[in-house]
Amino acid sequence: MSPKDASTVELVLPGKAEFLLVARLATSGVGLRAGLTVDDIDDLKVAVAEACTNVINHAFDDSIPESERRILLSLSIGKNEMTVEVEDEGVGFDPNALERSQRDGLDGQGGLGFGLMRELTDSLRVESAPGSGTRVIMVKRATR
Amino acid sequence: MKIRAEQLDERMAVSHVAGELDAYTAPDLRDALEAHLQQGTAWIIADLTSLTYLDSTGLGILVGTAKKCRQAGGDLAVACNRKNLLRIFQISGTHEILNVVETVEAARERLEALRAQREERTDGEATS
Repeated sequence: MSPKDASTVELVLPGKAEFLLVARLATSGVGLRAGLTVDDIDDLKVAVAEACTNVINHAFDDSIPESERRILLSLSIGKNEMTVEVEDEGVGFDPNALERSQRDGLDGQGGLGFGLMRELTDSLRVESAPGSGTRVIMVKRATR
Repeated sequence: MKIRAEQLDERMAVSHVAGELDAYTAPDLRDALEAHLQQGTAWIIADLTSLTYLDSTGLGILVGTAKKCRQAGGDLAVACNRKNLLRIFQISGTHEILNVVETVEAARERLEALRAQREERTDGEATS
């Protein structure tokens, strides 16, 4: 996680499903500060939880001890928008494989979560490579 | 998340679900829906009118259960009237295959209509 300015909240969450609620609550709180509507926040909560669920389900193999399975969550308030980064230090993957999955539609293997993230945000970028972790960057603009 | 089971008749049951459905709580819903099937009930209503959060993990459980219901000769319907959840069903394209309607009563009517259609079809095949 790179250093951020004073309008950014950074959290380190254990990579366990019981902490998904914490990610959603943080998204709600910062979303309100960013001026997002309730509907915007509902959308972003799902997108953030999908990214975190992907980390929990796919980022870590047996070589990574449980104590090192972490989700790095960064929530930044911008001008009429909010940027969320979900980062892990896990096994990574080839983003081109994700593109192929997306071409199969929302029902494509592993595509449903990313499909929802894409539909529920205004911008989605995935940075990853095998062996070097993953960073998902999402932007949600206020619709008021 | 809280789940309460209700048997409507010998072949139809409801799981009333309240709270938030995510990767942490989804196994509880899967077990509850599976319990209906294990008891021989293949017409199932997932009452999500008191659910406040849903994502792809919950959708996966519902789609998987709908498939099992159909394989057992029944079907699944979802009662849901919350805008944020309906949006997830629409975006994911699962609105139709999960028979999403607004109330438990409407879900029951949908399943009874499907049951009548299938029985009619079976009777027609038997007499032809």
